[in-house]
Amino acid sequence: MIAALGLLIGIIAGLVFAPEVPVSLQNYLPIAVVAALDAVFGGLRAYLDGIFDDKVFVVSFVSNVVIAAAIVFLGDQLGVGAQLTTGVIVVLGIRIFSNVAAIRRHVFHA
Amino acid sequence: MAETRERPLPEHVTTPLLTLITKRSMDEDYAHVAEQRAAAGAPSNGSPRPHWVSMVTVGVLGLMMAVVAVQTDRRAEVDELGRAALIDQIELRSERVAALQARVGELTGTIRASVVKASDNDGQLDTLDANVSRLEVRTGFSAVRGQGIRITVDNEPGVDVNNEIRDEDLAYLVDGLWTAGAEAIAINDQRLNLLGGIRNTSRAIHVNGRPVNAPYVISVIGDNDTLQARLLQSSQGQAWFALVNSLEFRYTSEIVEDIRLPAAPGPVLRDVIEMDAGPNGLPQGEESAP
Repeated sequence: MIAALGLLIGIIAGLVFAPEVPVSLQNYLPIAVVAALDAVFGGLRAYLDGIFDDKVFVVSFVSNVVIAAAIVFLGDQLGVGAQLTTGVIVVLGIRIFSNVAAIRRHVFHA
Repeated sequence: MAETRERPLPEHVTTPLLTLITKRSMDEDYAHVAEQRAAAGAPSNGSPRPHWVSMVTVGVLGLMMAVVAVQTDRRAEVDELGRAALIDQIELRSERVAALQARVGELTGTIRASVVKASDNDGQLDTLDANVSRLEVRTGFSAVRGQGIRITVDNEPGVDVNNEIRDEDLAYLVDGLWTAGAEAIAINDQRLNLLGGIRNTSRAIHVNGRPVNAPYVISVIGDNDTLQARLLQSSQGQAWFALVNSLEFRYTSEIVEDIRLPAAPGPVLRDVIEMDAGPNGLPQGEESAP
């Protein structure tokens, strides 16, 4: 409940303030969002498993975002940014899918 | 070596990558922390509730998502504008290409017309060249060859000066030959033409302004079979033969299958001016040329 409230507040704040993202960060924000999504779904699954922990959640969120952005940045510097982005998206996507599958099992018992 | 081979490899090495990713999709730290908490004997009060830190974290996710969505939306507008500009440019360039292609077609037509005109001109030039060479043959300004007769006329040795062959005698013969159908005549290799002439200067005979001496060899191109007979029939020919008989010239003639006559000396026109030429003799439009 508190998490859904936080999400709502964040979305409204983003829409209301709509801060201008520096051009240099524009490439990394989408991949950071995907990484954050992964962390959030992981946290939700842990919550449903009964093993949620605030510290672990925050740390995994921040590290996911930073590492994903760093990998893409490194790829850009090496000239393989697009390929590395694809790789990161694939891995995070698989993780999100399997986490969502576990959540689904918890919620629907199916 | 054998020992290391028998030792089983760790699980994270043997598991396929995709399976590993799927299996560890949730951070292992949650399980670790839960285990530690259980080991420490903390009360297991069901599922721990998230606190405000987690709320802020999720809020950050929401903020990021909103910002990215807004950015993508803005960029879509810019992209759309760029696309529209590109389409405009493409249309503009297409029009220009069409115009240029039309021009190409036009120019191709012009080129084709010019080529036709050029070949027409070439044809006219060829015709004119043919005309010129035909006229040169007729007027004596080009070397010619053909069948004909060669007449040799000479004075009797020791003849009186008054009885020597003169220009007017040769003129009778030449006129008779023209009448008889001669097409080209030369006296001692001096080709006769319109501007040339046979003149006497004291005792010497000049043809085309150059002196010729007896014996006079008159080369005539014409029909071998009829030339001599028609010479006899012509009035000038009869007059010539009367002179031959009365003044006792030596006259011999032979039929030649192939006579070559040189060209007459080049025409020097002093008084003739072309009809459409200016007063200085140049064609119209070239008078003012430096």
